[in-house]
Amino acid sequence: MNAVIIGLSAAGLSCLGTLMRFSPQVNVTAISEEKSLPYCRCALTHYLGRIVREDQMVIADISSYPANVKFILGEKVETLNLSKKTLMVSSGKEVIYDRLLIATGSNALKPEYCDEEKRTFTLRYMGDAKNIEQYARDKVTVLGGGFIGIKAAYGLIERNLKVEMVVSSSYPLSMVLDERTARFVENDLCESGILFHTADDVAEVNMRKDGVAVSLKSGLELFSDVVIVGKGVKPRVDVARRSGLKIDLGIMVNEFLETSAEDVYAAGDCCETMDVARKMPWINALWPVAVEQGYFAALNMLGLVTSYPGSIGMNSLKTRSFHLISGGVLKEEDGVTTFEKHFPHRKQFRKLAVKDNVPVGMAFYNCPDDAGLYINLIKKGTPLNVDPERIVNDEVGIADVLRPL
Amino acid sequence: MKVVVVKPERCVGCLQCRFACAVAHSMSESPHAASYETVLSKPRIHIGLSKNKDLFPNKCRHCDPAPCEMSCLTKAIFRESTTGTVLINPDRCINCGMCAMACPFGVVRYHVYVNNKTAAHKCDQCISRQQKGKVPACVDVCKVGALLFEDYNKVMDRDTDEISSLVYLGIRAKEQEKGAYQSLTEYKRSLEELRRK
Amino acid sequence: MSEYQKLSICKDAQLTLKKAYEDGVQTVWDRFKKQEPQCGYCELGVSCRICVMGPCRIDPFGEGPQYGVCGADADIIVARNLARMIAAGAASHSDHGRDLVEVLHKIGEGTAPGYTIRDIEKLKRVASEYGIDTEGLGNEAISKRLAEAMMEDYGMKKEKITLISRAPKQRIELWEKLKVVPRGIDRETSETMHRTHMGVDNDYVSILLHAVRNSLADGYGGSMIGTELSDIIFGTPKPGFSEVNLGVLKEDQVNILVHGHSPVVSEMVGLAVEDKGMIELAKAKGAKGINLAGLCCSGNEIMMRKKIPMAGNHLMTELTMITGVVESIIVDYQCIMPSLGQVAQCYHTKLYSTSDKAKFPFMEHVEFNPMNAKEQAFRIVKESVENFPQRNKDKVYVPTSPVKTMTGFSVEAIVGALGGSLTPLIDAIKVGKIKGAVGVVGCNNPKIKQDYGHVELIKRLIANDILVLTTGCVNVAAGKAGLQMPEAKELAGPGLREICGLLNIPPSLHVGSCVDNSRIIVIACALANAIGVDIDKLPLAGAAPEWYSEKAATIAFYAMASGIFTVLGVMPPIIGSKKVTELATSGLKDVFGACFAVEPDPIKAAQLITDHIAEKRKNLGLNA
Repeated sequence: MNAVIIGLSAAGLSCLGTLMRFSPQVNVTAISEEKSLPYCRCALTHYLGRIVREDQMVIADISSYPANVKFILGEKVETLNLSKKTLMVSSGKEVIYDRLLIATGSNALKPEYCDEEKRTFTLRYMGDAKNIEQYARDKVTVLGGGFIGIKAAYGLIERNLKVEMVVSSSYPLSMVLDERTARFVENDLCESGILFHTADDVAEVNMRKDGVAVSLKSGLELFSDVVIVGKGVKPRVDVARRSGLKIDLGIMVNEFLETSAEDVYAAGDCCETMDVARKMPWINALWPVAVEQGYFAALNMLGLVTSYPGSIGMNSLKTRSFHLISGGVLKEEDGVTTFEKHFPHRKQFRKLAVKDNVPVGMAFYNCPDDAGLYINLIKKGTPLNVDPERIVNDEVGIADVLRPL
Repeated sequence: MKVVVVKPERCVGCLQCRFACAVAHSMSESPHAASYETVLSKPRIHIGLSKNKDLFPNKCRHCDPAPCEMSCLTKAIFRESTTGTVLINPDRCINCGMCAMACPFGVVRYHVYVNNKTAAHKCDQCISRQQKGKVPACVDVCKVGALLFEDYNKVMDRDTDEISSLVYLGIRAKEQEKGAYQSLTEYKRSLEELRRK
Repeated sequence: MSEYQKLSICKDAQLTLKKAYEDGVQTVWDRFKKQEPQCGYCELGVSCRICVMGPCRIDPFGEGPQYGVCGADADIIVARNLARMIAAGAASHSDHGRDLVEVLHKIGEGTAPGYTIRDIEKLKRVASEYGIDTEGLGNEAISKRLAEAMMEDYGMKKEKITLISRAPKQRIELWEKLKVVPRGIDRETSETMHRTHMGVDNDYVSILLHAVRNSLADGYGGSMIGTELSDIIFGTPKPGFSEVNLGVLKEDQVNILVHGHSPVVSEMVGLAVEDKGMIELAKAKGAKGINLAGLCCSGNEIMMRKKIPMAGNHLMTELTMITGVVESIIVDYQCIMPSLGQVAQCYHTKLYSTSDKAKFPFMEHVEFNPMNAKEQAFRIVKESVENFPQRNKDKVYVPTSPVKTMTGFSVEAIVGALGGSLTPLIDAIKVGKIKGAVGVVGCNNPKIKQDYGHVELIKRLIANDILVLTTGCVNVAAGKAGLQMPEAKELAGPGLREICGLLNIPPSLHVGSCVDNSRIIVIACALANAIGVDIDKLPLAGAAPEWYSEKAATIAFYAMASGIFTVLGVMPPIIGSKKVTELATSGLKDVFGACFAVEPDPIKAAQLITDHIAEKRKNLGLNA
């Protein structure tokens, strides 16, 4: 059986590892557009923060794979022929597959002002990080209040650079958090030195003599050495679309991660799967989600038919002063009730969003010990057998929550 | 393969396992010297308390597949092939906190324990002790058999035997011979209920 | 065989342990193994069970609770626990003394048949220390008055206990400044229990200073009274020879063991076994005679005075029955393991408890008091003789031959051996023939290979010309190793060898039982007074290489408080408090002139002691 994997980031590597674990003799061809060894792009913010070195970011040793695994690096897939079950890479080489995994991931959304000339970069590839490194001396502007923006900003503040963040909503992380939780995070980040400009957005970005000037809609002008843009991601589905696969938010897959074409699977940022909390197809573009999808895709590719349970959005933001773990949906709408409790002396905040006795969202601020429990309950859609009020009041422990399970 | 099997109904809350775990992972491995080390060793087993004051020894189950391993950005978490133990390499850990988020059992903590850096910290099934032919420290020290180091199937077989005899003899008969510890747990529960009133 | 060699250095122990395993008998070592690993919190002293707001424990790793429910931190908890240990030890020794005071009183009233005053000279000497004018008074009168005066020492009638004045002037002044002069023997123990109640004394220094006072009330109180009265009533020991190890048990005789501490019972049993009628009965039952032997401190007492052999020390007590030749063990109190009854079930041995303070499973209780002691003793001995035919010939196994040992070195005997005063000893120390003296005392503990700690330490000390004085279980260890015979001088350094040869004494002197540690204190006080310095200036040290009991903790404390550096072979439960540990291992030196060290390796301990003695000699201007 010839297995082919397009993309060697989270989903692709995970699929490869799982294939090797369960069927070490299977022939695999792994294709990646990057020439360098596979690395974790989520750690780029830590690279900027000088917590990891480039060599420490490598997560796979190409040479350690057996002879039945072949790598094609530095090449893009140009065409995909579903009926013939072949694909062609940029060098013109043709690859035949019995089972294919599309793990092309996503691209950072690039507004038109993103330009190397203007020293304005998204942060998706090692190349981006190196560019930013090249210019960052004293001051950096970050556009976008999502996790990438915040993690990049935090990394740079730790290096004693000055950082200003521009957030279009009235508070950061508005895509994921409710206002109250987000304000805790905003406070902490302010205290570590990040300057926030909320409810504001970019009007223009211009290059000046020795730096970049970002003009905001409010009229403010921010001056810095380099600008980092974190405005979200967009799935890479061009090849898939051209080949005729069904696309909606991303490549559409069934519960076995199989696309509309037989023997073609998709995993990671490029495909849409069931979001357990939202109860609708969604793309949760997160590293652990991609890894898990790669695992399930591999099982199904090997004929070990296993249903993928779906994902939720989740993230962990850990700094020297706080640790936020959040997941699912936290907005109060559509029959969702929220419970929250703040313990100011412990600097802890717990929030739980519940619908029909099933937890659908959580945010634990500075209480990471039990957080994983609730993330996983939301992920499985398990009804709660404890009063959520008592959960946020820190009155129950793992034994109570997991009792009937 | 042998794993640490937990029987929470037997836990008496002496916290010996936490003590032994911390000592076993300290530099000196001696109970007398361990608490004098500059970087204090922290235990990797946590005893949870339910609202009824029931005790729950909670530690890494070395899941397969391991959600923590899947969520680790730098592949600092990996599975050791001979014992199947899920281990953390603190040198690779970037302290991002994703593993705590991913763990369905809440067993990951963050401490300084190697090279003066904070890193993810969890049970390693005492792999270095196992390599010397010893059982994990928590199992060694537990006096009530709440922690066992056995082939999980054998433990289940024994439990099956116990349940079958209960079914045969009648559960009521077993209820009648209440041990001292059950009386204690019932007493504690009633205290707790009284407190809530 | 080799696994038993790991547990004990004594051949008799190794061989009987093997038989114990074959006979299916559980010993102290088996139970110790099952208990391992032992509770870390308790080993560190940071668990507290004093009140029922608890039980509490402090997490020494900083994550869990750092305070008990009452708010006590590790320092307070450790100090309270240690103080209670000392109170228990002091109470034990003091009760032992009290029983002897009772006997003395009854002798005074004429209601203690079989008990007399054997050392009238000493009676008068001690009575005059108590301010009693003995001129024209008969023994009974003096006894009664002395007993009543000693009873006052136990209570609250006095400002301080009488015999504390034996200490050098400077030492008493120091104690007065620190407010640790003991006021009453029972009072101090009672106050320790009060202070350690929740919500009383919550300053660790304050608690420990009172604990010192409590221990002094033992060392110069309960124990000292016990020693002096035992000498007065039963005779002051004189040097002589006896035997040790299981080989003292005779296959062809009725073997009766006495175990416990008080000579009150053992003396009467001694009378009974010498009774002609009893011996005839034994012969009628097929035995050649009746063989009395001792265990632990009771054994020490009758060995010192009557040269009756000792079958073993603390860890040997169960093993004696395994020989199959013990017809009975008669116990009173302290250090008697409740497991003896279980072991006896496997053999024909009869066990008797004699004190209403001390009852045990599977033992017949035959209560002794000074009035009926003789009668009870005769009854038990008769039953023991009648037990002889019950022996199971197949289970008989006396593994070794007995070893000769020298004993009986009371202070009076030592002074006598020196020619009437301590001057020859002081001169020998000044000149450097004897570098110093060390009391090696204490028990056995399965945590240390039996007798290894004692024997190795003593060997190294005497090789360094240091005179050794032994009490308690150490006597049996040293005796079995041959260190307490004059011939052992060959193992001593040249100076000590010379002195031993001259005086015909061994380099390790058996000074007595555990209350007789007060004899070592008396010698230390006498030496200090003779030279004119405080005890902490003298080249002395103490060592308890294998201690287990609370009594040993108390002894260690009163030795330290007297200015004697003490090395412990087993860690006391104090490490959980850094402050208490620091105080014990160095801070106390600035206060009392002496502190503690913990060193389980006897080789290293010997080094610590020889270095300490060399330093003391240097400070006195003596050669190293």
